[in-house]
Amino acid sequence: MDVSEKVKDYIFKIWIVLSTLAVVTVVVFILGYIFKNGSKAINMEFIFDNPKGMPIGSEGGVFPAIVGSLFLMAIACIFASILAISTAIYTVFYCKSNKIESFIHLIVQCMAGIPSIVLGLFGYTLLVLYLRLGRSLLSAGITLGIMIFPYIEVRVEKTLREVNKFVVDSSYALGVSTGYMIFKLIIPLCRTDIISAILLAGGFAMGASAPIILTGAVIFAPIPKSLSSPVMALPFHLYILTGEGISLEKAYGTALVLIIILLLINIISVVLNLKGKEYR
Amino acid sequence: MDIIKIKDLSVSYGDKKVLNNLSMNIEKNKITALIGPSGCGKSTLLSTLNLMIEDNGGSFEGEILFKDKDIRSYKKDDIRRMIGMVFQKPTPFPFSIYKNLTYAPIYYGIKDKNKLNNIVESTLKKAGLYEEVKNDLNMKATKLSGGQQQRLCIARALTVGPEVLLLDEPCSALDAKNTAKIEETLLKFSKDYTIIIVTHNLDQAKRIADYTFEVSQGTVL
Repeated sequence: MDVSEKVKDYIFKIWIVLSTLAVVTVVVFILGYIFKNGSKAINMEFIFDNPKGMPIGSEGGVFPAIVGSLFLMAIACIFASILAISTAIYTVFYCKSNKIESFIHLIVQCMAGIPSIVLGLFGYTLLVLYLRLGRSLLSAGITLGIMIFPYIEVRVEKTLREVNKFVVDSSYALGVSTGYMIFKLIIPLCRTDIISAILLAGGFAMGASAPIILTGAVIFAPIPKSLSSPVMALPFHLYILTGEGISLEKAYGTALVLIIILLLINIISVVLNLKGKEYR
Repeated sequence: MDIIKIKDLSVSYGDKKVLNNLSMNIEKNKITALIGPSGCGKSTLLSTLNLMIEDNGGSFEGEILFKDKDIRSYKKDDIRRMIGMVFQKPTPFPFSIYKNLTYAPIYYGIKDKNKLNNIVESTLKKAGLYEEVKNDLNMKATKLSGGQQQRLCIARALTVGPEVLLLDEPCSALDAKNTAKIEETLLKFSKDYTIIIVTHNLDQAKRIADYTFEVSQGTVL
């Protein structure tokens, strides 16, 4: 290697290290800032009490929003993963035509590209108005589910394709059907990876506010009693607290609660993902 | 008696012809070794015999008779039940040894615990693995050594009661000691099963095969 190549290589290395450092610094700064400002607001009352005061939210806690967000995430995950896992299984094991496969990939990619507020509008028109589900937990959950569907589909499909080809062939060589193989061999094999993908997407759903503004999130509601009740959600609560200038301190507290929940979900997802790698 | 008769078989992947006008017969309850330089179509020939070729995007012309009936007139599942296959690399399912061996029988409707236990025990004995693992049937199969894994795969192929066993270089990833064990196992098989084995090792063919077939030249040695 001549000198100029060495210099180029050196500069490139510095560039990479600096870029990584910059990103890490920004993330640490954001987290640190929210922890510093949010920790003042957080105590048992904040976590386990209803929002109170006038305007509402200026005192009290965020308990209904925590529960609401978890419910929304659960519904979004259930709705999206049923569709996403089925789609992934179809494209990997049943679809024999390259054209159909490319078409499915195109659709999934397009779905991932739809702005979340547009999805919100779609959910509002179809679910809230046309299907008369109302502004409810169910409408908002399904809208979030549509949003995270492509993320789950892509990751599950990748996991299914990574299954050792010889293992799949060995199963075919025993004469068992594709369906039996999927339920008894492939899904158990990929289970941790699939759950990890669903959790990660669920975290994404929990943090989103645009799709739920029009479809189910409200400024105040008690813990939802049924799927047709409106809900509170952490990101929407945060938006209201800041946007309406109700309480910046409570807003930071809400943000911190949201981030802690998301971090926990992501950590579980990463741990599961690492565990899943053993089998391949 | 010839259990498999191949007549003017040509196999191709898309435009690429891998085998051309091959004819040969496989005698029942004998060991037939397929040899030849790599890329000459030995493995392709094997995967044609249990119709795996179609799943892998290939196609074939000509005639393959299994027990004097065209192979295409059987259902795919039935063909694969009657013609088992073991691959080059050991491919245990990442479950317990017991579950590896009951995977296919349960699919074919055997629910009775005693029957399943019998299948597990008898196939492990046939594959010469029973004594080594009889106390660890719930151990994960991926924890076995490479040679043990390959014998487990042979046992797994036997669980559905095949008449023919196809082996695609089953010893290529194994050391001499494990290779000898598998060869010994295969020699014992020939009274119950017809065996077709692909090998790149001429000595191995000489040690175990009743017939050796040179695929690239289409001749019996």
